[in-house]
Amino acid sequence: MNEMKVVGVTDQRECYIASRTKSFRIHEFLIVEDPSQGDLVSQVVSTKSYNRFMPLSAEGEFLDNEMMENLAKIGFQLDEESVYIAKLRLLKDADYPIETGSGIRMPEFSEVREFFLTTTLDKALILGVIRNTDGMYSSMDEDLKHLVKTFEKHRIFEQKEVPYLLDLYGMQEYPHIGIFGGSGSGKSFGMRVLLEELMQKRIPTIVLDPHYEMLFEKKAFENYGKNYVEKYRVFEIGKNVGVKFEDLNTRELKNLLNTSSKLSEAMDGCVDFLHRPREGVTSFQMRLARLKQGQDIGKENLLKRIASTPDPNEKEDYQRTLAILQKYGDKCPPSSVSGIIWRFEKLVRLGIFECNSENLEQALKARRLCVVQGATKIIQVYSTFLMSRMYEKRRAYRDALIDGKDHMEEYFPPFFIVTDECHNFSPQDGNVSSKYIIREIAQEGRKYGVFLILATQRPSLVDSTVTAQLNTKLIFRTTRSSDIQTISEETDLNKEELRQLPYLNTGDVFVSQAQVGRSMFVRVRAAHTDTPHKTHPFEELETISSQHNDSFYEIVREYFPIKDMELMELSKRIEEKTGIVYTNYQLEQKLDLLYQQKKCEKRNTIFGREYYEI
Amino acid sequence: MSDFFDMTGKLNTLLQEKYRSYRLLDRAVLRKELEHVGSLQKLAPLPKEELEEYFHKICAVDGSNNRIGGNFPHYVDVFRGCCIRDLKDGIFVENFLTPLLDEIAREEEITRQKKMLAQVEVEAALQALEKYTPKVYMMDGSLIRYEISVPELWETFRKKTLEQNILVVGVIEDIKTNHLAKQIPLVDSFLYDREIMFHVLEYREVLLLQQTDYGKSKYDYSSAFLRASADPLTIGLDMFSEQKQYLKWMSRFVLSLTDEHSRGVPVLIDLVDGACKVKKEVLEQMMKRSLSRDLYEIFFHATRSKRSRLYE
Repeated sequence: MNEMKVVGVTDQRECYIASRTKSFRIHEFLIVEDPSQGDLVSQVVSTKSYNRFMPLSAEGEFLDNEMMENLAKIGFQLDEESVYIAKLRLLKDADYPIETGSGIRMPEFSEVREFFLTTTLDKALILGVIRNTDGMYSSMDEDLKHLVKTFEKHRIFEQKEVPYLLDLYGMQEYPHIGIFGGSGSGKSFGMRVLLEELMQKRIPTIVLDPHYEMLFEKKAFENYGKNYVEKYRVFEIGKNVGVKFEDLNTRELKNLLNTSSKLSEAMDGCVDFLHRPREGVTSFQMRLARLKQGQDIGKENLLKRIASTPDPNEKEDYQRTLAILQKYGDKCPPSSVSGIIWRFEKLVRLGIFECNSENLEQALKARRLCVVQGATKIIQVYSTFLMSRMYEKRRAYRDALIDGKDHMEEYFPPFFIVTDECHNFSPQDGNVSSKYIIREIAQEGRKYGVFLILATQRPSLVDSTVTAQLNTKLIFRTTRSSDIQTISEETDLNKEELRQLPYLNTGDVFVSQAQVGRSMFVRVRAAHTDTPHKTHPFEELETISSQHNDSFYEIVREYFPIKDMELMELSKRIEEKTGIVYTNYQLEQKLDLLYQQKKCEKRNTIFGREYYEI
Repeated sequence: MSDFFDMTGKLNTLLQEKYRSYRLLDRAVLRKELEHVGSLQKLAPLPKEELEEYFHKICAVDGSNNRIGGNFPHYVDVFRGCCIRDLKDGIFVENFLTPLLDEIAREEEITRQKKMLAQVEVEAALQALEKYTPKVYMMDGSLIRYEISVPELWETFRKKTLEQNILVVGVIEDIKTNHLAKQIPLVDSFLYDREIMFHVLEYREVLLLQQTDYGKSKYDYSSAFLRASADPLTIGLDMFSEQKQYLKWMSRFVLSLTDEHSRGVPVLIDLVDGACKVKKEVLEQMMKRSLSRDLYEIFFHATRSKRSRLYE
């Protein structure tokens, strides 16, 4: 019955097995029945198969199909002479080398359970299924079945494998998740699934969304999945979220100014002098403007103007300017003041001071997922502020708790920070302001319950101190060798797995966990929701242009037949009627287009072209 | 070195002269001559439906031997005869000879060897009669050698197969006969059939020879020359002359089992040859295990076999 055996030379960690009947899949789990050491759990790391009657060499004789069929007809089944070979690695090293000749069998779920399930359902995020575990589905616990569906080859499949449970509560010890993968690898969907799972558990989360795609309104498939509408809120920087200038302390202001461009030491000092806590944007702006004006005019000239001007309002204005100049002029060189002004104006133009972050804070406290949308540049600025501010609040609360002063400090929940393109927020080289707060959270966040989920296409460009802190890494298809190199250094993917990286299917992922010390081959479950914009840009082009053509046709058809010479007249009439202005040239172009689309006819006369109805 | 090339120069001349008569013969002329010797026919392989009727009813028979030791009489010969009808298992008959115990005189070394080899083969074939109830036996080599080496056993086999209408064919890879030259006056008498037949037949053509009696044996055998592949060489097929009428069918059968791009020998022969082999390592292990080690080293461990393969 037992057709699989350990063959060849073995050691206490790996061995080769062969079978005449069963072929093997990478990452499959098998039990080695070692006569002296008992049952050992192992995983397939590579597979081969060959048939001695179909050798690879060009010399020697090669049998064609006809012959193989004829031989099979009389009883000689050459194609059944295939030998399947696999290399196994034990999940736990044995004390002695594996006994050659040991039998191999499929495991029962209970035998390998400890390697899959480090936690219970309520304490985990269900990411998807562990590939090639379908043999164990039937012997699995009932509550692990029918949890997810997968999407492959353009359709939905019911779950038939062991579910992959990402240990949420385990983040306490092994915090932060990294998501790496090239474009089209399924990385964004992986993120979406993670966020759906966080929402299901109502974990407060901040998502930075420069691509405007992290919405959870649209259902991916009918009759599948949960509803997330109440569980998240969308904030657009400048529209309903921003920085309340009055709430900024000087340090935070300086951080923000730094995002425009790094402050020099002199500028740094100036801001300290110039900024008054709890003041508004205008107040600060005015002070700066007056100081600059004062410095431009100069003290002497100012005094002259004050003395000479008749208008009392103007006089007062100048006096105010003088006061400012006298107070700050010596301490703040003009170049610094200019520097501060343009940095500040840059921020103001971004619209970052239009709103405050109170609503976001409330949403977080209400255990919602907060999507922060905006252009990349503005998100970078705002996120630095936001992350620092939220992290501070949480830290203050936790520290107070430890000191027994929690009744004095306002409650702030633990939360996740999620972002894509994290190489922009936390680069290896380059001085982006968000880099430092992310680094701090990566290193210290665990203590306070603040966790990162960082996704990127370019892991080699991410700050390596941060990468090292990402205890769980989801690795999707990656093709660039420099990124594969980084992955090889930062994860426990073995040689064969690294080689597979460029060829993974979209949606397949290696999960490398510090907690377990071995990577899992997982397929991400089908997401419940879908991203909002799915219109194809080229389709849109066609749609819009045909719409335009239709409307033009409607306008112009009553004027047929239209002669070349009459275009000027036509243009006037159209403008009178509809208000739309077309130049002669435009009319010509559009009429020609109608002709090409066979919506009208064209004829050349001695007076020029004429367009008429069909 | 110049001596060597002198010699090959002379060879060239001699062979050209020797075979001039043959080479002057037009292929078409030669083919015409062959029509006096037998019937030339173009054949098609058997249809697949017909092959299906023979599922597990075809037995291929072969023998293999191997020797461990040194010079006479310090050696042991092991023989294995094998009869298979599929790749899963077969009938194996093993035997062994050693001059040290079996009273073999130096002169009879070779004949004893041949005899034992033929014996294990025929014994395996006989066992298959009951166990596998085949309809066809395919033997590796000419049938005559069995008659010469183990006449009584062969008689038993012959009787039983003829009685039960079981077809027996011997497949000869390198034809060693020289009958044709005697029958074709145009051809020099010292040419072997193998050389004469070179590139004479078309692919899938057979020459069914008329003559059955060659004087050597007690019984008559009818034979054929068949070209079963693109390779211009022909193979020989032997059958009992009582089964002569099946020779044509048998040729078609052999065609069905021979790959067009092979050397012209049916795959079954290679399969049974592979199944049959006595591996040197196995033989060595068996000897080392049971014989006193010092005796093994002295008498049976040929120095030559210790030669490292590094220099090859």
